[in-house]
Amino acid sequence: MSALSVTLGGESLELLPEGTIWWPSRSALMVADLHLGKAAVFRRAGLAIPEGDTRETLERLTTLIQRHRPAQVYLLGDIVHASPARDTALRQAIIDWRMGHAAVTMVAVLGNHDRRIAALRTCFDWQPEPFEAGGLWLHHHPPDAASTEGPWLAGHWHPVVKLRAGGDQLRLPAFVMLSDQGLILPAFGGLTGGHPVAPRPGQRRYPCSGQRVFLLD
Amino acid sequence: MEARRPLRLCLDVLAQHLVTLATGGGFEASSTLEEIRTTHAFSDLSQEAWDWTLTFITRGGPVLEAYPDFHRVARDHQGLFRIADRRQAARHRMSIGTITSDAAMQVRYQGGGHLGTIEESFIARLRPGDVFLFAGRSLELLRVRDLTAYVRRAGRRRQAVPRWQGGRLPLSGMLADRVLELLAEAADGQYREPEMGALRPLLEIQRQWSALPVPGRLLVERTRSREGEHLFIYPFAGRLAHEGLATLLAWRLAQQTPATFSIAANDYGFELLGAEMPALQEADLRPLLSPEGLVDDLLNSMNASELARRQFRDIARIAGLIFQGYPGRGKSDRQLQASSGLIFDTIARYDPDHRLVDQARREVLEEALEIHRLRQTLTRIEQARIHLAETERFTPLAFPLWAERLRNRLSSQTWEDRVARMIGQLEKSADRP
Repeated sequence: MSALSVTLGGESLELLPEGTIWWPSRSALMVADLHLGKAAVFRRAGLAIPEGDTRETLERLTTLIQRHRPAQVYLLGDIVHASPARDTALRQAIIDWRMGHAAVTMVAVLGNHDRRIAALRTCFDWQPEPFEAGGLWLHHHPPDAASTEGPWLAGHWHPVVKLRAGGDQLRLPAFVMLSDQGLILPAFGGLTGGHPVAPRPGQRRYPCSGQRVFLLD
Repeated sequence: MEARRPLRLCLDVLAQHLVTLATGGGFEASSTLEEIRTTHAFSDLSQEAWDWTLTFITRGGPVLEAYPDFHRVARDHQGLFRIADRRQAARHRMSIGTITSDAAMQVRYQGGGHLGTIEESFIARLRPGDVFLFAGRSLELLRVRDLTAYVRRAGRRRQAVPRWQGGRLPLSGMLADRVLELLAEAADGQYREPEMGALRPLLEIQRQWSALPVPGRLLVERTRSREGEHLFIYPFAGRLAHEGLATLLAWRLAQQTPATFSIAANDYGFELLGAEMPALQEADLRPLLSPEGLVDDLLNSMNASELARRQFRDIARIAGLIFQGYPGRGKSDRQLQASSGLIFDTIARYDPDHRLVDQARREVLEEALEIHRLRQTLTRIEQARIHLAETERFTPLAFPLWAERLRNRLSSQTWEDRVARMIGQLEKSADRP
């Protein structure tokens, strides 16, 4: 496993190959766009997509928590894909998972999918965006350059990069750094598609393969 | 006439038909099964496959814990299977049919006025400001919204010409044989038909740069380009057989050293493109194109390639695993959108015995990788002379393969190696003056 260090607002952050961020000075793990319960939304609409993703996404997060032993976890929005009010199994899965990590503080920035989340009120410390932590501003929606308070982190885009060379082609989730002021995390949930991000001046992309993080431009 | 093999036991079509019946007056299981078995396609339908399909449309799948909350078709108090609710019925009616094509887009003038429809894949490659030829006019693309391309008349003459994906329909082996005979005549300097006469300049270039393929001679071309090493082989066995052959050859090459190949096939031949390609003399090519170990190598190569995943695209649409949205509503219902690739991966992972994933694999094996046809082609190649040509540029025969957009990939490398190599290659080309 190899991480890649970047600096944002004077803070050193490690981009992890799993598409999450380890923030050593605050002993914090940051992760965006879990979209838990997405398969269930499909099934309720009559599309026969099997379950398994919610559990698997939470298990991957557990592995990261066990490895890094964070004091806190910051969730950058879209924790659930649809309201857990209608989905007892989803609610229970999240509550059970949370109980397993009771000692860890978990702050959840509200995303556009996190509606009617009363059932999960006690699970996370829900905060409207932006939420300030140690000099960094945590968003779900990447803010406009004009409306930023300072260096920020966000999700929402589900950034991926398409690599293409020598006849080969891959699509990988990626971190996107914008003019050294903002960092967008890839989606962590297993059943999340991606939004291709093209190269642009003043922007750096960091595709991650699960084993390694690369710097693209 | 060319043989067209009717498809059999397509559970995706059966699932769609049953939901259609449920959307109408509802259906009764046993009499419907009887009726379905009177068709050629489903005369051998096993009880087990029937049960699976019924389970698929009523409960999602046999693995109960994998499909909670699923409802699409349910049994009413009379025992009839009926659609679960009106929204599902409306959604199903929108996606009835088995001809899967790219989404069609309306082409309209900015100020109103409908010009026609065009394939989305073509429009997707254009940017606003680009000019294309459509309905006999030169049009400039202004913007794309809600499956409509807004255009205005353009003064410029340089245009892109839209293309529909008719090229996907395979030419039969019989026609390809006849083409090969005509090429043999051309190789002797005979151009009898007027069509051949029209092609003469192109065929002469092919002969000067490389050679013309003739019966009993297998033409193999190698070309280096900025993209990497290209290997073109022209067995003239029809597109489907070439797809299988190309996959087989890529698999066998990738076993010698870890490599990733991009594969293209048409009716005349196929292309492998890789960052590196070992030196291939006739003695190296013979074992790679041998019929020995064919079945095992094909089964293995299918797992390493994206063939089944691609085949699943059509199956998923027909079986109703993908919601394509309502016409005109564009981006609404976005939370129900997922690509067929993502759905394929999810199902293969959490319901590995899924019959539709199985069907995708089976269809690839039966069609693209049809064993007896491949064996026949390989046997023919065994007896043919191999003509190797290294060419500076793509020959007239190679060019359409190089330009082919529907490509498949086969890899025996880890993602990390592939990413590292691609980034290296991208940096190299960026450094170039």
